[in-house]
Amino acid sequence: MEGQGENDELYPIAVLIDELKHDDVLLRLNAIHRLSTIALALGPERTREELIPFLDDSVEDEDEVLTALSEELGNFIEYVGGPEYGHVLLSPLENLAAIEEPLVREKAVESLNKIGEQLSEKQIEENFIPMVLRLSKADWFTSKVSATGLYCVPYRKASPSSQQTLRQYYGGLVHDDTPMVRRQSGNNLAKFIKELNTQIVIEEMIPLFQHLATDEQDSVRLLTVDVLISIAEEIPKEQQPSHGVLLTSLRNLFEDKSWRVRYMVADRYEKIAKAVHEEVVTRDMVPSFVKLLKDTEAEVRTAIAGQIPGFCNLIDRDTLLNEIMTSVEDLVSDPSQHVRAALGTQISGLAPILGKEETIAHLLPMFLQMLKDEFPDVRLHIISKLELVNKVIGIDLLSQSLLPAIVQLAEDKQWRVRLAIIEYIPLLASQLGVKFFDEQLSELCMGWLGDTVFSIREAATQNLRKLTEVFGVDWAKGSIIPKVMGMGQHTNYLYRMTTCFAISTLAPVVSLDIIENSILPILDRLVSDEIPNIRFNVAKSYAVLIDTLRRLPTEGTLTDLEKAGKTATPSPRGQDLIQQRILPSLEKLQEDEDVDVRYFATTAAGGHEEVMQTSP
Amino acid sequence: MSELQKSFAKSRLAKLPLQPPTGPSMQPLDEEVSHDDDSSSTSSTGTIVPSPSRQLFARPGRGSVQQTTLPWTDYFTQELYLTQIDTPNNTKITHHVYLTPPADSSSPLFVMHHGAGSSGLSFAACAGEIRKIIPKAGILSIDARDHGSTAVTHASDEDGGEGIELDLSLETLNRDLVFVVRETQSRMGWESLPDLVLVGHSLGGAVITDVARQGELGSKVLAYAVLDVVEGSAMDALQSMETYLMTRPSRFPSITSGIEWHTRSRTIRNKTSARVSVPSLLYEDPNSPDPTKPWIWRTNLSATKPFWENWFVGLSRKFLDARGGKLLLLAGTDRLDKELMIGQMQGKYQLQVLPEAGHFIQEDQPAKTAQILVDFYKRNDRSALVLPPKVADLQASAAMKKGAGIGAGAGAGASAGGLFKKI
Amino acid sequence: MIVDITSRPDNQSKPRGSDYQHIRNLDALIDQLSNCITLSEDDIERLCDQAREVVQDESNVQPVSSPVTVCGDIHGQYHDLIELFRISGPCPDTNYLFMGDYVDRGYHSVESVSLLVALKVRYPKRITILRGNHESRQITQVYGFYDECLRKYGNARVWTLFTDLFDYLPLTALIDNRIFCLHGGLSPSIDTLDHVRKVDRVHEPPHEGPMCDLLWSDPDDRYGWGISPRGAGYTFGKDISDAFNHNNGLSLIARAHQMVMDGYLWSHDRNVVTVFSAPNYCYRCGNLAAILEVDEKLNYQFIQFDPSPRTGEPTMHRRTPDYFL
Repeated sequence: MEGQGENDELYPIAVLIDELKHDDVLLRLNAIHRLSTIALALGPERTREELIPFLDDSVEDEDEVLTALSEELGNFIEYVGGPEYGHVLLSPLENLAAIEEPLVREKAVESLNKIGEQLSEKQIEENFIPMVLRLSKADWFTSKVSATGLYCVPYRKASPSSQQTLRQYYGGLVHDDTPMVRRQSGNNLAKFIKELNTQIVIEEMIPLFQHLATDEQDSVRLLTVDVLISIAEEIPKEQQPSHGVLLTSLRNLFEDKSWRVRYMVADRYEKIAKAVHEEVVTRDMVPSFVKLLKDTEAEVRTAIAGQIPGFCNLIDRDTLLNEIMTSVEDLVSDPSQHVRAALGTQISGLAPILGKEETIAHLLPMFLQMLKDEFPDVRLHIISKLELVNKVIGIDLLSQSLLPAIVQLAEDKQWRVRLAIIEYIPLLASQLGVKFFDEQLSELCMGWLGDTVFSIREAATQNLRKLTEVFGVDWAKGSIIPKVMGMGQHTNYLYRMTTCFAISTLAPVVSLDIIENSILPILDRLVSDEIPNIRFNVAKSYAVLIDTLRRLPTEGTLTDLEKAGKTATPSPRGQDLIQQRILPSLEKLQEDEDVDVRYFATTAAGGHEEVMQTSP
Repeated sequence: MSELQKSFAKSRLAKLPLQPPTGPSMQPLDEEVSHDDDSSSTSSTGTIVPSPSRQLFARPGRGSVQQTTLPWTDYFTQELYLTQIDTPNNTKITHHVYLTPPADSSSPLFVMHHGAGSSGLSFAACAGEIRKIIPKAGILSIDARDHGSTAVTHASDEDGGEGIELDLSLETLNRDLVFVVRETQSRMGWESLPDLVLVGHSLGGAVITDVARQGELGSKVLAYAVLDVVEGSAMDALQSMETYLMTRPSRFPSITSGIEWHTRSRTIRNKTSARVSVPSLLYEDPNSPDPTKPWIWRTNLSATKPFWENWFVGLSRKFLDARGGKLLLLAGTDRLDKELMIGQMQGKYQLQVLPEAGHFIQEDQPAKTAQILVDFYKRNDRSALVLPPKVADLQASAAMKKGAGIGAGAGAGASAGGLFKKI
Repeated sequence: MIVDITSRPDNQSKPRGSDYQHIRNLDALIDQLSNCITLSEDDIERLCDQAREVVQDESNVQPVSSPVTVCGDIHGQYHDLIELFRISGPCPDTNYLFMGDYVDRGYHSVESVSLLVALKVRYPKRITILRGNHESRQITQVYGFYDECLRKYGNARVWTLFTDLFDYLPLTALIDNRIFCLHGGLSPSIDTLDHVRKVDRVHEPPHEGPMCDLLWSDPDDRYGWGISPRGAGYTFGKDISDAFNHNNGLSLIARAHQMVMDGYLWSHDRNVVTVFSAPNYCYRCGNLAAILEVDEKLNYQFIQFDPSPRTGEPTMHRRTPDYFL
C-alpha cells in the first residue's frame, strides 16, 4: 500500500471504524468494545467532533450493540478531554435512554449518572438538568422511565430553584398515565427521598407516596413499601404520630387485596418495624403480623415466616408468648412445604428470645414434628440450626428428647440429611458416653462407611476420627479398626477405597502398634489390588503414614502429643517400618503399568519436597 | 497492504465465528439488498479499504427508503371469498383467503393462520419463498374473522356489522379454519384434500394446534408447525400485554408511515414483508378524530382481551398430544415452559430457534422459515420410511472403486452416489 | 499427550522438573475450576491444544475398562456436576465416562466443560468424555454456550476453541467389550461396532448420516426404525437393539440424550438404559438425576440425586416476550 504516509497510524483505527459500520453484528460489537482505542487514536478533539456525533446517530442497531455502547460511554470522559467536556456525552446517551430495550436504557442511565457525578454545577444546570427535564416530558414512555433514575445526581449539585423544578417534574412522573412510568417513579422514589430534607419529605413526598399507594395497579402499589420505609426513616419517630396519613397507608398496605403487595410488606416486615414508632409496632404491627402468618397465600406466609426472629426481637417476650406464639406453632403443619421450610430455617432463632423453659415448652414439640416432616428441606433446616437451641437448653435435654428422631434421620434417603446427622454425632457421643454410644449409635456409624454416596463415606471416616479422639485409641482398636479394615475386602473398588481414605484420616489419632499390626497388613494386600485406583490410593495412604511414622513415639498418638503441647522422640521402630514395610511397596508401585499409580507412588516415595508441592 | 493492516485484518478474521457447515436453509437472507437498491451499498464486506480521511465516519448511502406498498398478487395467485351463514346468531361471515393451489394432487398444501391483529399477508413473503423451493406446493393463507378482509355482518344486512358481539374464542376460530379448508376444497373442485401442513403464528399457532388435536381434517394433516408461541411464556406475558398495546400508536397519517413504524420499531424487521403485510392491517377511517392521522388498526386488539387466556390455556399439552409431525419455531431464545422443555428433552418434537428473528418470524426471516417448513414437510411426507445406505455397503463400493480400474471406478462411484439419491 | 513422569528409559524414578511444572499447572487449573472460577482465554487455548492431542488418538469406539461411573447430560449445570462428584467420588479416585452434552441451557457451560476437559488432560486414563449432539457449533449458537462465552469473555474465541476441540471427541465407548456407551442411539447405517470405527468423525456433526444418528437417535416402543420427531436421527425398536447387542456380543447399551424423570430408564427389556445427569433440568423440569456405577465385575447400580442446594444462582426465569398475540 503506497501513499499512505502520515495516515498510516490511523489505519488500524480506520479498520475499526469500518467495523463500527459493518453488517456483521459481532464485528460492530467488537468495535464498540474497543471504542476507547479509537478515541485514544483520534485524540479528544476529533473524538468530540467526529466520533461522538457519529455515535449520536447510531441508535438504530441491535440491542446487544446498543447495550455495549451505553456501557462504554459511561467511562468515556477521559477520552473527550476530561470532565470539562463531559457534557458532550449526554447527547448520545440521551438517545440511548429512549430505546425500547430495557437493558440498553438501564445501562444508559447508569452511565449518565456516572458522568453526572463528574460534571460541574454549571454543566449540571446548563446541560444535565435540561436533559432530565426533556426526558421527563418526552412523548414516549421509554424516555420517562429512564428519567426517573436520573434525579438524584443532579439534585445534589443543583440551585434551589432548579431543585424545586426537579421535584415538580418528578411529581409529574409519579402522576404519569402509563403504569410503566409510575412503576419506575415508585421504584426510584425511595432513593430520591434520601436526597431531600425532612421538611420537603413531609410536605411534598408524602403526597406523592399517597398517590402511588392508591394506584390501581398492584405492581405500582407494592413498590411503595420501600418508599414508606424510606419516608419513615427520614421522619424522627416522635414526629411520626402527627402524620396520620402514613399510618393509614401502612394499614392499607397490610391489608391490600393483592397478595403481591402483602408479600412485599411481609418480606420487609422487620425493616418497617424498625423504621416506625414503637407504639405503631405494638398496636398495629403485632396484630397484622398474626394476620400475615395466617394469610391465604403461601408466598406471603413464607415471606413472613422468614421475619419471625427478626420481628420478635423487637417486641417484648410476653407479647410474643401471648399474641404470636400460637400462630407460629400453627405453621408447623402448614399445607405448603415452602412455608414449613422457611419456618425451619428461622424457628431456632426464637430460642434465645424465649429462654430455656419456654423453649422446652414451645419449641421442642415443634422440632419433633418438623424432624418428621415429609419434605427433606424442613428436616435439614431444623437439624442444621440445632446449635442455637443447644446453647439455650443444653445438649443433655436436647439429645434425650430428640435422639429417637435423630436415629431415624440417620437413614434418611436424602444424603444431606444424613450428612447433617453425622456431623452432629461426635457432640452427641461426648454427651452420652461410650456405653450408650456402643449400644445406640455404633452400628449406625459403621453403616455409613458403606453408604452409596461418596461424601457420606468420607464424612463417616472423619466421624470415626473424631470419635477416636472422644473415646480413645484403645476403644478405636477394638471397635473401629476391624470394621475399617473389613471394608478393604469389599468386591466394589469404591468401597475398598474407603479403607484407604480412612487410613489417611485416622493416622494422626492411632498408635504405632495399630499402624504396624492392623494397618500395614491390609495395605500389603491392597498394594497388589487389580484396580489401579486402589493402588494409587494405597500410595497416597503410604505418603501420610511415612509422614506420621517420622514423628510418632512408641506410645500414644500424634494428636495426643499436639494436645499436650509436647514433643517426643520418634520411635526408631517407625523408621524401620518405613524402610522395611513401606518403601519396598512404593518401589513396586513406581514400576506399575498404570501411569497414575506411578505418579502417586513416585510423589509419595521420591523427593519429599515435591510431594508437598504437588499434592493438591 | 501494510503489515499493520494485514495483522489487523487477520485478527479480525480470527474473531469471526467459524461458520458451521450448513445446508441451504442456513444461508443468510439478503432480503433488503435485493429489494432496496439504496441499501445495498451498506454492506461493507471488509475488503473495502477504509480511507483515513476526515470523512472517517461518513455513513455509506443512507438515503430515504421508499416504504411503498407491494401487492399481494406478487405472492399468491388468487383470493377467495367464502361465505358462511350462522343461522342461530343471524350473522354472515365472509372468509377471505389468499391461495396458490398445489400444482397437482401429490403436492402439499401449507395452511397458514396468522396471529392476533395480523393478517393472511403476514405469510406472503414466506409463501413466496416456499414456492421457490417447491414450485408445485400450494399455500392457503387465511384472514381470520375480524382480521384483514374477513368480515362478520348481520345475515340480512349486507354492509353492517354493528352490534355483533365479538367472538374470537378458540372454538370459533377452530371451526372457521376447518370450514375454510373444506370450502376451499369444494370451491377448487379437489376430489380429496391434498396433504396438509398446518402452520400457525402466535394465536394462529394455538388455532392450528387445536385443529390438529381434534383431528377434524383427518389423516391428511401430515404435520403442524407453531411459530413463536409457548403457553407458559404467553401466560406470563398476559399482564404486560395491555401495557404493550397502550404503547403502540393508535393511528397513522398514511399507510407508508404505518409501514415505517413497523420497521423502525422493529416489530417487523424486514422491509419487504412489511410493505406487503402492513397495508392489510390498517384502514382509512373517514370519521377520524384526528384528520391528519386517518389510518387506524383494522383489528382492535384490546377488545380481544377477554379471549387471551382461552387461546393459550392447555396449548403445550395439546401440542404434544396431537397426531402428526410437530415443529416449534421460536424467535430469539428458547423460552419453553416446563411441559415443552420436558417434551423437547424427551425428543417428542422438533424445535428450531432463529436467534436473529423477532416475534414475526415468518416476516423477519421468510427464506429461513420457508426452508425449515419445507424440510419439515419432506421429513414427515415419507409415507413409507426409506432407510439410508449401510456403512458396510458404502465401504464395499468404495473398496470396489479402489480395486477396479479408473474407468470402472468411476462407474462404481456413480452407482454409490445413486444409492443415496434413489433410496 | 499423556504426561508420564516415570517411565523414561534413561531415568526410572526421577521425574523431570518441567513435567512436574506441567502437572502443577494442571492441578492449579483444576483447583480453580473446582471453585467455579473461569480460566483465562490463554489457559483455555493451551488446555484445548493438549486435550486435542489426547482425544484425537482415541477410537470412535473408545475401549474403557471397568470399574467406571457412567454419566449422562450435564448441560452447564456446574453445581450439579460438582454434586455428582460428591456422590460418586472425586476424579481420579473414581473413574468416569461422560456421554456428552456438557454445554448449553445451564448457567455454567464454560466452567463445566473446562473442568471436564482439564480432568481429561490431567487424567486421560481415569476419565472418558464422548461427544453429544450439543457439542456442535450450530447447536451451541442457539442454546446458550456461544452467548455464555461472549458474556464471560467478551468475544467468541473461547467458543471457537472448544467447538474446534469437540470435533475430536470420540463418539462412543465400550466398557470391557460388553457395555456400549454413546450419547444418542443406533443408526440404520450401522450394524457393527466396526462400522462405527470407520466413521470419519473429525468435523461438525452433519444433519444426517451415521454420525448424526449416533448423536441424535432415541429408543422407541415401536419395532423397527422410525423417523425421529426431533428432526434428526431415528427411533429404533427392541428388535433393532436385540440384533445389535447379539451381533456385537453386548450386554447393554447405555446412552443419554433424553430427559427421564427418575434419572435413568430401562427400555427394550433391559437392552438399553438411558442415563440423565442434570437434576431439575434447566432449573424447572423437576426430574431426578442419576449415574450408573459399574464395578469391576460389571455389576452395576444406579444412584439418583437431587439438585445441589445453591445460593446466589438466580432461579431461572424465562425471558417474557413483550408481545405474544
